[in-house]
Amino acid sequence: MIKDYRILLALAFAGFVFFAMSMHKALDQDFVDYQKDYYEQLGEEFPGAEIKQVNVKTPGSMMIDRCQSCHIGASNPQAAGFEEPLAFHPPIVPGAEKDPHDFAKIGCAVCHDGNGRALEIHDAHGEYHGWPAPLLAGPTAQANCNRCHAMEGGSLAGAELYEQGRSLFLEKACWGCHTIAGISTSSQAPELTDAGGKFTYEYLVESMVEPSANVKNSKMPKFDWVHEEETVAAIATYLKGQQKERLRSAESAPIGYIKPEARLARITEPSVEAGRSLFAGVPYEGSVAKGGCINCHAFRNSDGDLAGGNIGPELTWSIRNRGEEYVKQHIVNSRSHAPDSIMPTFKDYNEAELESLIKYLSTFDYKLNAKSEGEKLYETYCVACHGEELNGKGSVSAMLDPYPRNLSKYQFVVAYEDRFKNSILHGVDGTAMPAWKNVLSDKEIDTLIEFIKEKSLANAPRNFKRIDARLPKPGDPERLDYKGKGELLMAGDPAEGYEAFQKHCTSCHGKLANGKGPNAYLLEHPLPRNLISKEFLNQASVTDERLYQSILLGVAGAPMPAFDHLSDQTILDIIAFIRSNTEESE
Amino acid sequence: MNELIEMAKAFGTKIYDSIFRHRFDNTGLTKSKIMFSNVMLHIQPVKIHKRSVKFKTTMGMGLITFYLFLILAVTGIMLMFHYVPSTAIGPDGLPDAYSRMLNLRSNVFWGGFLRNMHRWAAHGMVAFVALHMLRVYLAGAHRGGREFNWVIGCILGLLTVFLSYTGYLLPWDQLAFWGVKVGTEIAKIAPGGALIRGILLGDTDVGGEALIRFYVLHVAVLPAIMGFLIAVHFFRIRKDGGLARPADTSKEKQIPDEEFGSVKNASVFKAARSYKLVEIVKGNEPKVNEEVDQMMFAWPKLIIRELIVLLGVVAVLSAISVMFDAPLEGPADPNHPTNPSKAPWYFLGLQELVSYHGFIGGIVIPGILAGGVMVLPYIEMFIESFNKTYRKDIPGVWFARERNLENALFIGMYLFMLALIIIGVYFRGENWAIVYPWEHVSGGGH
Amino acid sequence: MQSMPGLEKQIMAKEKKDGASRREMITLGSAFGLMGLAAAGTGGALFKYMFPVVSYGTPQKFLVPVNDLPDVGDELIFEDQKVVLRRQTEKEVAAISLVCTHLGCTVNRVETGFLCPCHGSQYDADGIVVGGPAPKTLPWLEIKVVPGGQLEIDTGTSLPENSFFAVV
Repeated sequence: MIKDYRILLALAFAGFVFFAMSMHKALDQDFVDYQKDYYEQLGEEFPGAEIKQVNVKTPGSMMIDRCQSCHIGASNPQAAGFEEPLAFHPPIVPGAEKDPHDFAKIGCAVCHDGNGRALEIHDAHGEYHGWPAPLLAGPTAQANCNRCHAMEGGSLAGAELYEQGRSLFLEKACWGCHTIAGISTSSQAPELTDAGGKFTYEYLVESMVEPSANVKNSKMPKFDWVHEEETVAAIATYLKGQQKERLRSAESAPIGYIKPEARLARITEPSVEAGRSLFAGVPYEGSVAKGGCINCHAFRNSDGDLAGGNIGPELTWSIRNRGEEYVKQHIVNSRSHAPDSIMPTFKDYNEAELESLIKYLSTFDYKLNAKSEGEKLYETYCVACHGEELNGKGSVSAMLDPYPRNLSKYQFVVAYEDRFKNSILHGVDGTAMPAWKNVLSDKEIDTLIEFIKEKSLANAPRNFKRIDARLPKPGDPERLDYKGKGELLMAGDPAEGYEAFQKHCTSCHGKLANGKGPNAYLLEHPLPRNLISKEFLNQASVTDERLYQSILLGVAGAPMPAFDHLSDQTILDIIAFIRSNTEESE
Repeated sequence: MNELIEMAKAFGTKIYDSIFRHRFDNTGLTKSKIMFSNVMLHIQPVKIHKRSVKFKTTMGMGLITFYLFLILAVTGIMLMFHYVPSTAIGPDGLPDAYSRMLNLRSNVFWGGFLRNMHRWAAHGMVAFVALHMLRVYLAGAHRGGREFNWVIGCILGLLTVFLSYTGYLLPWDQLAFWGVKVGTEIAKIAPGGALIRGILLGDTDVGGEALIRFYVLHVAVLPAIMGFLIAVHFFRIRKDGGLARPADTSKEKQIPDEEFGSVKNASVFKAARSYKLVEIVKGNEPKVNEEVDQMMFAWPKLIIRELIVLLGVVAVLSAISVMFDAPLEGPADPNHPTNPSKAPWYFLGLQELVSYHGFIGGIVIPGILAGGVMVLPYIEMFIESFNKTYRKDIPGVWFARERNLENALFIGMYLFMLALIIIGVYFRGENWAIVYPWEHVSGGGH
Repeated sequence: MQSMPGLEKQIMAKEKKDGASRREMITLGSAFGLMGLAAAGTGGALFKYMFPVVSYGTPQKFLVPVNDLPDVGDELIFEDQKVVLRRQTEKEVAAISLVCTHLGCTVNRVETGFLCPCHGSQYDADGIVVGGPAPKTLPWLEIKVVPGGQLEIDTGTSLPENSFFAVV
């Protein structure tokens, strides 16, 4: 029996020890030490630790805020020099004699988020998995001014970062894609009216700095300014402040509330100056202008200095290349020209604003002198899209759809060099390639083509040659369907073509024929053609014969393989199907 | 003066006698009186087979499970004082149930510890129910008249899992919400599953209605059923003659049935009426005449051993609860699923199976396993009856040679489920893809 | 051992048995002692577990910045906390509870003192009963100066009349 008793004793001892440990853990919470330390530093007698709970009255009920159990010196100016968490919180309203924010009434979490109920630092600062509102330290807490004060339209003392973010949201053209109710309307990208309620500050920063970090297939461009920490912080603070759930309604908002009023510029008289403001997204005649083309598009001044963003094509020649009507239309709805464009639709602009922009764009008149060499020409006009290596990976290429042509593939250049001149002269509809006939002279174009050929064909094998194939004419007794049943060819049947397309083409071109089939994700530059792009397929240079050749022989220098095992009749059917998709409706 | 002391002593003795009806001397009478005059102790027999207190007989599995149940009941009731089963969103943006969890972790003294105890004890109970069942089967303790108690045990096991599962939702954090959501999605696959799901959730999806239902099931309905079935389970063990063990007397020597009720021996128990009651029990225990050598008084050996197990459970559980905090993630958000969304670990084997094939993995295999295991003793009985191969391996023998096949199959089934659970817990990452455990991100399963 | 006489052997066995039983008692006793301690501790812990340390209603203690104190001779009424704060001199303040000592209604401040709207209890300006069913004086409350230039008024206390506190 003694053995049993000894085991019992040992276990009783172990149990007692663990019990004591649990008591120690429960009694020895961090805030106790902090409060002791606080009174010691003040040189006063420690009155005993207690949880300092603030019940923050809100219209519905109340928020629980225990932060000042540790941050005990927040409203004591004597604690100004103390270390965190005991330090004095400087007045929120700068220069105010008496800060209207009484921490004994509003607590900390109202502004700084975090977990007001918790007493352990990680819990309290919301640094654990899935906590929706981690601590907003420092000036980022200005995001939460908006919870009580209505801030749109007015400016609130002490909320400078937020105010800056608000201007930047317009200046950096975020508004072009993202809707914030009352500021912008666009269905291009996720709405941000409740961004602060849905996302954490960290998430917002991350999504700006690396758009694909949180949403893998995000179409959002990565802007140049994401490396400027202050800009990002300001915009993130502003976005974090966009919360539908408010603690105070407009009626019960505390002092400091300013009624919202639209302070956005509406231009009534078209002028170059107004266009310039819109283009740059800077204030026009004292109020914030809604614009910011410059964030994506670059331009050259008269001296040829480049300025602006690297996301869309350069606009130095846009008016000359495209014409005013086209540019206007493109601003209002870019997808009427290039179906896969990511450019936002700026349908809010009134006629005067559009006119101002056109006027401003028309002032770009930079041009190389006539005797420039091929390389110089290429570097000025082509390199932004087609890249220095001619590989179609220029600085703005990433956001273009379709990608610029990869001219470093000698197969392509050899096979299609006769098309080059036409493409440069008249552009390629449905893509970002504009018509250069108003900018480049015939001679310049020839020089350019020579330059491309020289560079691209340097390493080409001499005997590479593209086979020629003529489009067979239906009903031609001389040209029977050799690979098929050997019968007379008939005009293509779209229904048959549909069947054949679903069988042979969808893995890359997709079921909808939009070039986004499952295998397209595995392909690199260039990607499968969007075959429902009316703009592309209805231009003069895209003939049936070109389609026939591309299907039968494949596309040189592209992943499109030769489908020479298909009978001519089938190819004619597929062409008919493609054409039927893109018929211009009356 | 002396007289006064005498009177005081007599008074004291009277008080003592009014509370306890026995002393603590070493006689058999006292030892038996201690057992049957105490409501807590009288559940157990006065005399037990000496084999019963040996560690290897039971390894204490059933007892550990029972103690965990008691601990869960006590800590659970304590937690109820601070809990509200409501999803109403407070002004700090938190559902009520969840903010109560935060309170337990911060301002409620010892609240975190009690919650840890409750959480870890719940997981422990599921595990020990499984181990207890394994022990019973491998020792053949479900045979020889105990078949029905095995069925009750199986029901208790299912109840344990269900109890744990209903409790899983109550913190109303992401882990709870998505764990339970995945579990109810699995239920959908079963024929009639949608019906059960509807009754459980009280809504088309996991929400406030589900919380209150799970709460009532968790704190009232299931524990009540469980308590009743535990009583039946224990009662039947006693009526079946204590713990299963191989007989050490032959069949012929047992007391004929007609002789029950008249005890002729001169045992010390004669004076105590209630012991006679115990003797009217049918079965092979207590056989005072034949097995008296093998029998020993339950007091104090058995009681001390039980106390040792209790203290062991409490000590280990306290240690775990001091060292590891019960998980708590962000508040439940129906719009943002965790990735991966994992059910509680005891359902992860099921979830893993379902990920291969909904119907076969979710219904056929678990149905066969659960149903088959429950009627397992009767399957054995059936085979033996119709083959006329009554095997003499009396219950209570570990790894009896005649039962090698069944035992191997049973262990195989356990290993199969264990492997699935381990894969589910440690090797499944985002989008249910296979990952290594060290690449694992949090998303439930514990 | 073989040569040991019978009696001696018996004695030794008895001593050994006694010793064993004593050791058993000590072990068992200390085990149960520890268990008792842990059980008592658990009881205490559970008591503390149940005992409120924070209040979700109107807190028992509340803070008033020294800057917000009324002028000398003036009073400030805190409706939520049911307290009137009186500044006696430049450096002396007092807080009087506005909860009627009869049945807990909130008394009104009137010219003559305090008047309970429920059962007509009357108090003078210092809270001393002058009429009605009220059994005792309105409680005066304890005021503490906390760091940071604030006064903490504890509505849970009950001091005799004319308990003034110094404001530093």
